[in-house]
Amino acid sequence: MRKLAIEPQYAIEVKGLRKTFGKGENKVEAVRGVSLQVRKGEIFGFLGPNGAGKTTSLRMMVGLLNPSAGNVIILGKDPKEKQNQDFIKEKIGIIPQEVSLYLELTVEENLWFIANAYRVPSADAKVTIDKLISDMGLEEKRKALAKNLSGGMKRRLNLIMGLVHNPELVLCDEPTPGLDPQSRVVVWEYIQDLPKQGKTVILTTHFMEEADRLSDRVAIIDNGEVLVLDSPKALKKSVGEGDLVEFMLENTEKDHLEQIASALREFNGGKAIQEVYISSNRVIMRSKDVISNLSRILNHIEDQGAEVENMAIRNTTLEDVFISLTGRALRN
Amino acid sequence: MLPLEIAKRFGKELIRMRISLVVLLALPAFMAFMFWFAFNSAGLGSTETYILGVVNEDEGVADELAAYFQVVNSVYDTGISNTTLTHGFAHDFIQSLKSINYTNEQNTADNIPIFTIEEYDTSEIALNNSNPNEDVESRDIDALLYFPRNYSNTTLSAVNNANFIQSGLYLDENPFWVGPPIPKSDNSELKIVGDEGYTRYLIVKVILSKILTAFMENIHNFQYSGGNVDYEINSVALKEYSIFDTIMPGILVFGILTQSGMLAAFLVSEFAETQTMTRVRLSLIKPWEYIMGVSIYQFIVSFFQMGILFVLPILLLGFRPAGSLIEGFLVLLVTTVFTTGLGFVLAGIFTSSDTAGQSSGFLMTPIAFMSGAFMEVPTITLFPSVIPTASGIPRDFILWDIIPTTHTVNALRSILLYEFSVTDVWGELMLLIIPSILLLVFGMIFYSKRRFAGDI
Ligand SMILES: Nc1ncnc2c1ncn2[C@@H]1O[C@H](COP(=O)(O)OP(=O)(O)OP(=O)(O)O)[C@@H](O)[C@H]1O
Ligand SMILES: [Mg+2]
Repeated sequence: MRKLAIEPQYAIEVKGLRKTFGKGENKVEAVRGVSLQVRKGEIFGFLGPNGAGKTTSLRMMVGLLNPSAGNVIILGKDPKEKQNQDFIKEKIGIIPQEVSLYLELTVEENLWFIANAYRVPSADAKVTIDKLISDMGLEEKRKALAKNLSGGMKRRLNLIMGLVHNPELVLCDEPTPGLDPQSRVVVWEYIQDLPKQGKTVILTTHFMEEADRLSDRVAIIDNGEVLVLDSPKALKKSVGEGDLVEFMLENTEKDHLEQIASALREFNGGKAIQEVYISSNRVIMRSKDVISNLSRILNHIEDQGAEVENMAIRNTTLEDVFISLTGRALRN
Repeated sequence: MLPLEIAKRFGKELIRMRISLVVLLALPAFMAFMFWFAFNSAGLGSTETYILGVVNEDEGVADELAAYFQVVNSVYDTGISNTTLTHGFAHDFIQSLKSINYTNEQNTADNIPIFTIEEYDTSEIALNNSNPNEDVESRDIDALLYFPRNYSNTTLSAVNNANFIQSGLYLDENPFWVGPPIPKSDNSELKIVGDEGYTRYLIVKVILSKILTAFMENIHNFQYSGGNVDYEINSVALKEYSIFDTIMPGILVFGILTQSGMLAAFLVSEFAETQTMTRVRLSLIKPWEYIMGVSIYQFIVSFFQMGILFVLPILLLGFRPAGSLIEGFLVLLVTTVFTTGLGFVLAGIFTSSDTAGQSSGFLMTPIAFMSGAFMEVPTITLFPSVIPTASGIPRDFILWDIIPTTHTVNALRSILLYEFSVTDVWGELMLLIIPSILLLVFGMIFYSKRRFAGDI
């Protein structure tokens, strides 16, 4: 079937988005020129460390913050135009980073208030609310006041509060902090399922696993700028092939670590090891053929007067991508 | 209806947050109890003698006018044409004030005068040897009655007016009698001077207004029938009050003022603490729907708060308002316009509900005090004799009249204690309602500009 020409191709288009807070000494350039397009039906990840400007970008996209510069187009419409505003509001659901609930209302009452706020007909609202409550495993807490929920339950309620009006576009700002591993998986699977219901998801996170696992495409953002934007697979590939080996050494003095790292770079004429760097007091190296070289490499390290305390072999992660782009770890 | 849903939500939150119920109800109720405890035994009213200062500059009725007055009078009764009618109405009035007693029904021999009259010599005042205004300020006298030079003439003119309306006769403009015109002067009105915040003054004013009405009726009757200025107002019905009763209206106002801070804290917490304002703004709720919902909620809260604060002192503390409870209740409900407006303004300013709550507590206490809710406040006159009052004698616009709740306190006292009706206190009500509506409109616009637009 041919798509109608007027059907917009992108869920969100952002051009030259900037936000500066404060003046003079307190001036913070939170977002410095972000341009990107989010395709319909994809899960788009924003990955970046604390203070990178993820929340600020998201808030500008939905109109909670006025951009200092740049513009946003949502589902082909300009939110600055008054006649588009209700249309856009109906299509957007936001899951804020800060848990935003009416603490003195019950789980159900919270959801009903939102349903009313979006003028969802009661019959539809009842079906949706029942489903959302059971999807998040909150049936037993239906009648509990939000303030009496555990942190993780609040987080789950916070998530479904943004979905009561069945939005086409879901903006999800850090959905999983404070969730236990099982709940996290439940939420992940839930988010992964949203595109199947025809929804587009924008997800911000500073967990690389989360971005990697959920996103179709990831924008890595740091200091208010998008550094790269691609599928997680392509991003990981871009830093090089092969596996990573992390060595935790008994001697953790910086100079000594540097010495070991440069020794490894020289190893075997630099052919067996593609890359060596230091992160969080660990020496990390990338090699296409770890297994056959491993014992020689260990000897080589011990020759430098260091004792290997622990060692791990793992695949490339988005964290490595971030490190290769910025020279810093995501979490520090 | 979205506004109703919003009102319902606020209501649920209020009921479930016990601490706010405490502030809303228990605090003013506790205040009422404290004042009751302190003042209950202090009686006030039925047989109190008030000290009334009098400055009489009245020049009486001009000779030619007096003669003329008799001629006209002779239309009704020619038999008294040669008697001196009056030394001036002020003189007559003062004489009668001296003779008015409380009627003690149990023991008629024991009649107690309502007033002790302290007459000031105008020449002594001119020499600065005595200063009645200072005596008012120091409360050596409870009120000062000032008769200007043209008092008699003006009174005569008023009587004429009444006659004209009743009989078609009018003294100085009667086409058949060409007489001297009655001099008109700015300086012709009877003035009652006193400390608006002084309960004794307020009571004196009410008694005087009742006597004055009777007095005017008497001169009127006199002229109409050709009799003498002779009238009997020997007793004035006064209810028995305790100081507690006079303070109760102030406590009600204090109670209603707690609403502003509470409302501000509620609105700010949605913005700052629960951050649910994000959800409200992204939803289809329009600013006016939200604001209307909040106002409905506030009105209902006010209704119940005032109901409880009215009924509790009546049931438990022996508060016995003489006037109409329903009208007093209405005045308080109207005051909700002010407290809601203030709540919106505060909610637009503060960004944490704690500071909103604390700052409004900080603000409300002086507002309650300045509006005379608890005790007399110093009088700082801005415009003399401009506010119409129930007694018919305009009072000064003092500094605190800028605060709408000053008028709630005054209107409540007039209605609950002195049995006036809402229409009698229209001057106070206008000064309550008009600034309150302006504040509410400003507050709503300010709030929606601050919280429904711009960065959040
Ligand atoms: N209202 C504000 N006023 C001043 N500075 C702000 C404001 N909001 C955000 N910032 C600053 O902008 C920068 C980006 O913040 P933002 O919340 O977008 O980061 P983030 O990527 O969401 O981080 P996190 O992972 O911690 O949520 C930070 O330096 C922050 O301090
Ligand atoms: Mg954030």
